[in-house]
Amino acid sequence: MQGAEPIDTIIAEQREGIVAMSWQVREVPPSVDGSSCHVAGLDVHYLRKGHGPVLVHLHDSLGNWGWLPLYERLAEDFDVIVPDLPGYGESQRPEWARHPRDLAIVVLQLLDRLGIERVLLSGIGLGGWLAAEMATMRQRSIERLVLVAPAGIKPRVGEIADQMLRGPLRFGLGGFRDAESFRQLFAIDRDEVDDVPDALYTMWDFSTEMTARIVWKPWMFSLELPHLLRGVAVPATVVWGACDELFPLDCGRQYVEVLADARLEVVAGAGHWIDLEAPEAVIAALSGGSA
Amino acid sequence: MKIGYFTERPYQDPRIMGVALTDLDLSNDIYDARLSADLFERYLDEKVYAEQVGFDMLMLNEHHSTPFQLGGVMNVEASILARITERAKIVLLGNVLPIWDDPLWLAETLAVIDVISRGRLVTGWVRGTGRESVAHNAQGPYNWERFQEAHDLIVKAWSTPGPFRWEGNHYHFRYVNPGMRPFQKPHPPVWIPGLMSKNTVEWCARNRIPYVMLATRLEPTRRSFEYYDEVARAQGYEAGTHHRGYLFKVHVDETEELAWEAGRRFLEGPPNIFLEGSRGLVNPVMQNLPGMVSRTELLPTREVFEALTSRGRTDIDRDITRAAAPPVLSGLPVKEPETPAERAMRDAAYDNQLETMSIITGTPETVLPKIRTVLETLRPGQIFFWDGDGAMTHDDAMRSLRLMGAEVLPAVREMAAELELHDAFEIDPATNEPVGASV
Repeated sequence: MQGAEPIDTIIAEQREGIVAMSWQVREVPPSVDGSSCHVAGLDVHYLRKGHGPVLVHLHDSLGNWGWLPLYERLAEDFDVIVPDLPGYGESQRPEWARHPRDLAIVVLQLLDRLGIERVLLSGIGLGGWLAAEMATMRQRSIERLVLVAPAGIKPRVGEIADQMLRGPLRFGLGGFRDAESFRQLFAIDRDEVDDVPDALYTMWDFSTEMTARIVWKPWMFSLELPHLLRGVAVPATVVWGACDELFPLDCGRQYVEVLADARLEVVAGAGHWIDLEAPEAVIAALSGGSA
Repeated sequence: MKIGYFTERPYQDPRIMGVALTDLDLSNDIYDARLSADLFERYLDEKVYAEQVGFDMLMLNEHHSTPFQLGGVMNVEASILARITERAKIVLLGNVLPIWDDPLWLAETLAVIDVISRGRLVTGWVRGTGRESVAHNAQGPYNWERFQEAHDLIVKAWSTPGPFRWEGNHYHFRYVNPGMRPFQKPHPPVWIPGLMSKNTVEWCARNRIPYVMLATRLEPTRRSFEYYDEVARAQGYEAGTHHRGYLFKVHVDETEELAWEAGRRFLEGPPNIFLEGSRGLVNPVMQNLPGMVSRTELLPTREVFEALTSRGRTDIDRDITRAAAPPVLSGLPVKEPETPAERAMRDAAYDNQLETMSIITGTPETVLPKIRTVLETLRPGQIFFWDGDGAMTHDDAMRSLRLMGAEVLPAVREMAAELELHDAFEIDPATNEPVGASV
C-alpha cells in the first residue's frame, strides 16, 4: 500500500471554492450538453462539457446526482463525459442485464460510438466497480484509472453496507461524513427542515431498483474481478474517505494489492461521497499527482 | 360450496403478546422450541378436529422470519396433515414461488404430499411480500418473472412425462424427471390467494385459476371479482362462483359476551401487520423492497405512488448514525403496558371491524345472517373461516369449532345451495364442465 497519507490540508484550503459552487439534483445547466447515443439497442444518455483529454466518470448505485461542482471544475481541463448508466436516470433500462459487467460493456461500446480511443476513467462506488471491469477488458484505451471507494471486491474485514435492507434513504445518508456535512452540502437549515430533498430521494429510490436488477448476491462484489485485475497495468489511484461508513477501506487496500501500478489515497474528513465532500481529492488523483 | 378452516398459527409467547413491533426487527434468539412444539401440536390437533366437525378444507399459509406465523415451512405441516387426516382437502395458500431457487424440489415435495394424502392437495402460489424475499434473499425485480416461470416449470414437471430439459430465464434443469408425480391427474388444483393485486387477478383470470381474496374488505373484493369476470369474458369464457374464493374472520361462541371477548383477541396476539388493530408495524423498506413493484409500472396516481415509495419518517441525525447498524435488533421488545389512548385506538379498531364485518363474531344465530351477507355480496364457491388467531386460546378455538360443526356449517351449506354457489370441485374452473367426483 502506498500513499496512505491523509490530504486534509489541501481539502481545507479548497473546500470553500468547489464545494460552495451551486448545483441542483438532476438539473443540467445550460452550458452542459445533454445527449443520447444508441448503443446495444439502448438509448444511453450522457452529460458532456469541456475540452482537452476525454474524462469519463461513472456514477454510483444511487444514480447520477446531477452536474456536480466536481464535474464543472474538471471541465476546465478535460472533455468531461458523465453518462446515466443504462437503466439509470434518462438512459433506457437493459431488461436483460444481470451483472455490472453488462453495463461496463455497454459503456465501452458507448465510447466506441463516440469515437473515443483513450480516456481518463473514474467512477465511484458501483461506478468504480464498472471502471475496474472496463480496465480488465480494454486497458490499452485507459490513460489513468481513478477508483473512488469502488465496489467490486469482497472485504476481508467488515461488510459493504446493504443498500437493499437499509433502503435508499439510510444508505444514501450513510455515505456522508456526518449530518452536518449533509446539511451543509444541500443547504438544509437544521431548524426548518429535517428531511431529504424530494428530488434526491426520488433519484435514490428509482436508482436502487436498477441496482437491484444487476447486483443482489453476492452484494456489491465479484469473486472473479480481483483475479482479472492482476493483469491490469494502467496507472491507478484508489481514493477512500476516512469516514466512509458504507464501504470498508479494506476493499481499497485489496485493489492496490492486485493492481500492478496503484496507490491508495485516504481522504480525511470525507465519507463515501467523496465527489461531493472532497472533490479536490478526485481532481488531484485524476491529475496523476500525489495529493 | 366448500368450507375451509384457517389460522395463522401465531407464536403465542407471553413476552411478545400485544407488544408493538416493526416487521423483521426481532431476533430469532427469542424463540423457545418447547413452546413452539406445544403450539404446533395444538394447531395440528385443531385442524384434525376441524375435519371431524365437518370442514371440507384445511388451509395453511406461510410467512418467514416473523412471530405471527410459526408455519414458515408449511409443506411440513401439510405432510403431517396428509397422513393424520382422512377426508378434508389440504389447501396451501400458498407457497412463495419466487423465493425457491429450486422449484423442481417444490414440485416433488407437493407431489409427495398429494400422494400421501391420496389426492387431497390443493396447491396455491404467491409472490410473497418483501419479508419473504428478504428472508430467502430473492431478487425483488425478478419476483414476478420467477413466479411465472416456476409455475410453468412445476405444472410441466407434474403433467408431462420426463425426462425433459428446462432452459428458462431464471431456472435451468438438464434433467427434469422427478420420481414422484402427483396422485391427482393431470395435477392438483391450483388456486391463487392474494390481496387484490390487479396483475395477479388478471393473470389468474387469463389462466382460469380460482382466485382467493384474503380477508379483504367486502366492497373492493366484490369489484376485484368483477374485474376477474371482465378479463374472463375478454378471454371468451364466463367466470363463475367456482373461480372465487374468500377468506374471512369468523368466530362462534356460546354467548355473545364470550364471542365479543374472543373476537377481540384477534387484535391481541403477537404483532401481525395483517391483523388490523394489532401492534404490528410495517417496515417501509421491506414493504417496498426494491423492484418488488417496479417504479416504471406504477399507476400514475399520487396515492399509489406515495404508498409504494413510502420512505417512512426521516430523521437525518438518526439515519446517518444508524446507516451502518445491523438491520435486525436483538433481544425482546420492551413490553410496555397499553396506554389509555392505545386501548381506545384498539377498541375503535375492533368496533370498526365488527361493523364492517372484517371480524364476524357471535353465537351461531347472530353470525349466520352476516355470513349470508358475505355470500350474497361476493358469491364465492369456496370460503375459509379464519379463527383461533391472535391471542385466542385452544379452548376458544375448540368451542368455536364445535359450534361451527353443529350449527354453522350445515346452515351455510343450505344457504350456498339456495344461492347456487358452486365450488371448484363441482365445476372445473378450466373448462366450466361438471367434475365427476365431489368431496
